[in-house]
Amino acid sequence: MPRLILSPRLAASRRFTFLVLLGGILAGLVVSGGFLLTQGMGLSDLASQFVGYTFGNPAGLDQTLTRSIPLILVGLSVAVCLKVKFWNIGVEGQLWAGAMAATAVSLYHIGPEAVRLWVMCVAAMLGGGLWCGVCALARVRLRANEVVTTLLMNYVAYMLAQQLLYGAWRNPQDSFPVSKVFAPGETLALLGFGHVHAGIFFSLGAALFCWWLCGFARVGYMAKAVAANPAAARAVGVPAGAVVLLMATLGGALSGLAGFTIVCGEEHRLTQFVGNDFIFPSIVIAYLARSNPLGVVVAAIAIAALYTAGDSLKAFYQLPGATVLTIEAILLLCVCCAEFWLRYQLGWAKSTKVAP
Amino acid sequence: MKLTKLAGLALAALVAAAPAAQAQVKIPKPKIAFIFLGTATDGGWSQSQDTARLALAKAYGKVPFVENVPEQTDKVEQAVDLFISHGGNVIIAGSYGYSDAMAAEAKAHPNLAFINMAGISSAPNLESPYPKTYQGWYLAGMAAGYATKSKQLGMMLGFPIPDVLWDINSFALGAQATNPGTIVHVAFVNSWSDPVKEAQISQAMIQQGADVIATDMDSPAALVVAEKAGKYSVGYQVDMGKSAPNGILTSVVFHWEKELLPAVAAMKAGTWKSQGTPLYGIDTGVVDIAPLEHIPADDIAKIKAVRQKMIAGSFDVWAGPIKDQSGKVEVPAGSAPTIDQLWNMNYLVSNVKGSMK
Repeated sequence: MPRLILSPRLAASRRFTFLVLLGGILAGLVVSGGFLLTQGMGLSDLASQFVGYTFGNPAGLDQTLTRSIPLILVGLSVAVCLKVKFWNIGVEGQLWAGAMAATAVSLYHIGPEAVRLWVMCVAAMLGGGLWCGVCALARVRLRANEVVTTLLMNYVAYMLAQQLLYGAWRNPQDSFPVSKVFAPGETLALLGFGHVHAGIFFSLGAALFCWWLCGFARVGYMAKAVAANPAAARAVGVPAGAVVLLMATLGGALSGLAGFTIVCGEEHRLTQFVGNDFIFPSIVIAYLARSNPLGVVVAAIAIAALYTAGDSLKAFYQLPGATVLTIEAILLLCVCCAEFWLRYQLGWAKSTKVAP
Repeated sequence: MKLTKLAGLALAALVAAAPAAQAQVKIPKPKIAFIFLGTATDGGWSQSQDTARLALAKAYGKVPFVENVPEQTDKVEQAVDLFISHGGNVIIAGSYGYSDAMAAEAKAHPNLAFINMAGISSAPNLESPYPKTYQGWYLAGMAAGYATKSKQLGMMLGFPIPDVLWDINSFALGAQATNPGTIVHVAFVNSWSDPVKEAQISQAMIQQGADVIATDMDSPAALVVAEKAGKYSVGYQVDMGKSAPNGILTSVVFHWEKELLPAVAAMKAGTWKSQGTPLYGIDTGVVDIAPLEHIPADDIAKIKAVRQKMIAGSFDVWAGPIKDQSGKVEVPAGSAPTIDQLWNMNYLVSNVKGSMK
């Protein structure tokens, strides 16, 4: 009698991998759609909010694109770290560190005015890089688990930012806990389409750079070796510790850059909330993109669209803010479940006759 | 000095807007939307605005809203854009910290009307109204003065900005008027709503000897603590009596609908134009006090008499002489500050104990 059996899959083709990912996303969308239908939305509402508004409407598209700028960067941050199996749960802390570093440059007038914006950019990357690099160093030298250290560093950065905003950096004009507004030369230019600012070039440039680094540069190749088997990599002469340190620092720098795009492109000052609500989407984005830097761009724009639609659901359908988080979680779970098929295959057991 | 600079800027913005203020904004079919700082049921600030939202909904149909919008430019602009892209043409928000974002949106959409309650920015199509909360707080101060035995009151507030400073100062002046020698302990919470901290401050003030706790915050947390300790309390924004039924003296309440209903009606008629940053007094009903409780009827009558004088325009809370904490005369005898001077307030009156930090 034929029996269904599950057996490990030795290798999955690229095409099959892609189809599995697509299937996971589709399944997630169907489940999410069903969930929203139970919340009192109609099918046509779903279409108009999720497709019509987020991409078809200029205001919606504006919001989607503007939102995607920091999301691409934090998604890249997690993705780059994952290349060396370094779990970066600290994008918010790194983003705060970057935003604070950029703000410090503005407040203390560091560097010549003509290149101030670039100094802020570099400072933000250094700040974010340092914030994550410390955790990588702790892992390489002390074997400290980076999931714990990067997570805790979020709180350190947040508390530091609050300390500054309620102390030295408090707006002198009205004692509000926000920094002084940046000078016009210290902000990213608008591109003439709503609130979309020049930060989008930083995001796309960073994605291209990461794509090149991971796919074509020597260090990307080494990263693959380290991720596959650190001991074996070390044995053949790959400086595993240095590679982890480098990739994690780069990841932190990307989150720091996200902080730079927010304070210089959107807020034009440091506020109390710039670093909130990035950890969960960053992980979802990196995972949906399977850590592919160009895939991160697509995933980040999709998640940004989800947030844009979520705002609309809140305002016009009175759905709670947790709705968007729920959908994100559904998508992530479905993609994770779909990955099962990359590792296992279903087949019929061949009936073998055992000689009597 | 710095506050002066800020008010100067606000004034300059007003002056700059003045020639264009002739332009009227006509909204034949108002589609209104609200942006709340807290939740619509926060028991204070946003709830008082939600009452106005419901009144407008009765007159103009469904009024959508978003809650918990932080005082952050991109979040406010996202909310405004969302409503505008869905056909909204009257955008009503409510926070001081939204001022910059609302000014930017008003500039980007000159044909739509914007109102930002408690804001400080204005444009031909953006008005930032605020009630003369000091009138209500003076009356509440009188009540507290009558109620206190220890001659020590406690009040907590958000940030030391002019329209918050005048709340504590008028409260202290009112208490001084009915019970000379009464002092008010002050604490700034550095937030508009932080229930945990509010409760702690309330507790600390009671331990220092305060027997009336007044809150200028967006939640009734402080009153709950006062009620438990058997002390009197004064609420704010909505009638907070439910949170402290045995100890509440009154609440300084907002009736935003009394300002917003006529404003939207004028927009519909094409006669609305931004008044800049107007102050609405107790005579308009936008600010008032909730029913007075737990003090003798004689005292209630005296407070009501002052309220009537305020409505008639024959009583000025800020009539001199008023001295600050250092003893410096801020308002000389026989004079009263102008509205601009009120918007520049940066001192605490002599019977307030504590600092602006």
